[in-house]
Amino acid sequence: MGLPYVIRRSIVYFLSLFGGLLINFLAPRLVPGNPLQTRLMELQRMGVRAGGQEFIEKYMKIFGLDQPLHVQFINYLSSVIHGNLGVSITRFPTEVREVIALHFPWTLGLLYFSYFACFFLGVLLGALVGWKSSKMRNAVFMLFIVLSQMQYYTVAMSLLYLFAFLFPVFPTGSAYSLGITFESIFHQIVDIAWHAVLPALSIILIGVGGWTLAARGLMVSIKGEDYLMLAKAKGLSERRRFLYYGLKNTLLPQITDLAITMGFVATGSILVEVIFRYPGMGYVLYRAITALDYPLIQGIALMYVFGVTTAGFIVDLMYPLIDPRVRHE
Amino acid sequence: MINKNSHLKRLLVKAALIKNTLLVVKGNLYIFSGLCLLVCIILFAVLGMYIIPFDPVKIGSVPMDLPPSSKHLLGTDSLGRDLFAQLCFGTLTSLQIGFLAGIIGFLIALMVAFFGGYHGGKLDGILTILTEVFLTTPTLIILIIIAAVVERIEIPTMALIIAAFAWAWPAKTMRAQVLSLKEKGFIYLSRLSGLNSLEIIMKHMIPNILPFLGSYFAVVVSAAMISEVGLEVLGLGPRHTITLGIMLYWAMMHAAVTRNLIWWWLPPCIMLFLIFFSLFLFQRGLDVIANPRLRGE
Repeated sequence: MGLPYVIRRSIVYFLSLFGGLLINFLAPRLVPGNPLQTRLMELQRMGVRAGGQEFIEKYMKIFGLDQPLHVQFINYLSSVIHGNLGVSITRFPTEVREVIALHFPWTLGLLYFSYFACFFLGVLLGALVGWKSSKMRNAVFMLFIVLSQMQYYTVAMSLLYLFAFLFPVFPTGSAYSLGITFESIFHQIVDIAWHAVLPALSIILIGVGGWTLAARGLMVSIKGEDYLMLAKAKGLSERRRFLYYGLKNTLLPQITDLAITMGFVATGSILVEVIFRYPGMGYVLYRAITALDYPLIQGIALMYVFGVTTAGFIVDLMYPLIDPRVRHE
Repeated sequence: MINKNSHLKRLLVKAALIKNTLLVVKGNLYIFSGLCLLVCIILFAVLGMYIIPFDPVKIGSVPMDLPPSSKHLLGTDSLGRDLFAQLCFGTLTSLQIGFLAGIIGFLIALMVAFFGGYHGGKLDGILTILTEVFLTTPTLIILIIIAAVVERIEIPTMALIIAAFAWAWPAKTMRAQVLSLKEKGFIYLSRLSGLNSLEIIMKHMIPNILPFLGSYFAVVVSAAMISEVGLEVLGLGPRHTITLGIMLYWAMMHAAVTRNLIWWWLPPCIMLFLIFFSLFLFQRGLDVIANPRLRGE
């Protein structure tokens, strides 16, 4: 392609964001039926005499719904850029922005910790198996491959059943103990970590397999490279050859996949949060869906789209800085 | 005589090809076990549907919260429905959505990869950027936005929505295949001999990467089913019927895990795992055929 990498990647990034915004904007408007009209009809069925056509027109004007679509879209864009995502219906009068700010840190913590844990554990295991296979390593490898074919809800529900219900070692839900005053900040941190074990474990158990498979493949092909032969001929120790010549080269190319798998893990974390009632954005999203709180659904969805695409964008831009082989191409 | 001879030769070549393919399938444990597993799952569900006299969808048709017994093989749920009937019915509807979405998504990917990759130029540039846009956007989130506003989702609608977002990754990898294939000698030759591009694609390119295409198809189906169940677990799906995801949705809604109703949430999980695992085996086996390097040492 003719375009430089950075410009190309930026175009993709802004198009993704724009697409997310566009769908967020269009989806409720393209569905047949006027929400006001439906609501009024419901009211009338219940016997309430509500205003007629005039009333609808007035409200359409207040919300700017009588303007042409492109004007509406520009208004929508400017309000999103100003951080105005509307008001939650179920938590009226709290703004969507405030709800997100309240729950975002939980998702961020859980997601990023387990995401990077998956990456490093997975690549390390795959590299080990590719380097030298033994019965033990292969068994662990196969275990994670099978696990990677499991689904988030399966693993999360099983862990919940085993370690919170049958053997109540861990709490069944939430992210911290309620109604307890902690002796110190240290105790509070332990409590939070204790609540995060099962949700994080669900994500890690599933995520490791994919990285392992790819890392093993890479390591097998790296093992045939001349520079490893040279390293061996130079008499470098096996440990050194594995760490600096093998592992390093297995780790780097995989960084490009970080951006793509990010979306998968992020959406998986939604399901995990729902099952463990972990108070992150995913659980709030689920609650919003069951309560039909559209502004909140859209606000959180937008936040996820923004978070995932931005994280991917940053990772992809940093990659050439980390791996010099890409820079010279 | 010559004509007859060449005809016979062609037949022999064909027979050898078929025999080879059969050998590969038979010798390839992955594909064989994957296919067997999938067929078994479908047979199990269809047979179950015929044997079980209970309605899987109608609420209150049997007593609530019964543990598994000889009458209700997997017990009943808190809404008064037989769970074995639900499992069989749900497996079929889930597979239906998954395969429908998979087929549509695969066709989109095929078109994007071949039209873009083969012809190149501006169209290809636009298509690759579009593919990357879809790749970097979190699919399930976009699906949530769409599904949340659609009031009553039917099975075909569900499949369409999912298919629209399930094509990006196979399109990207298939395009790479097309690009490398395009430079091969026999493609140049067929272009020189005056075949049009559609003929070249259909007769010479697709047969050459058939195992790859098969494995991508399995990937698309499994990706579509991941989205499907993900949406359904959150309550966004055809809630008026039963699929495996909807079963899990109701189980979660009624806190089946902490109420010790293990017969409610575990069977659909196991069934989903089996379905995904069979698709994985199938895909892995085809990968090994397409890419001998994967066979390992």
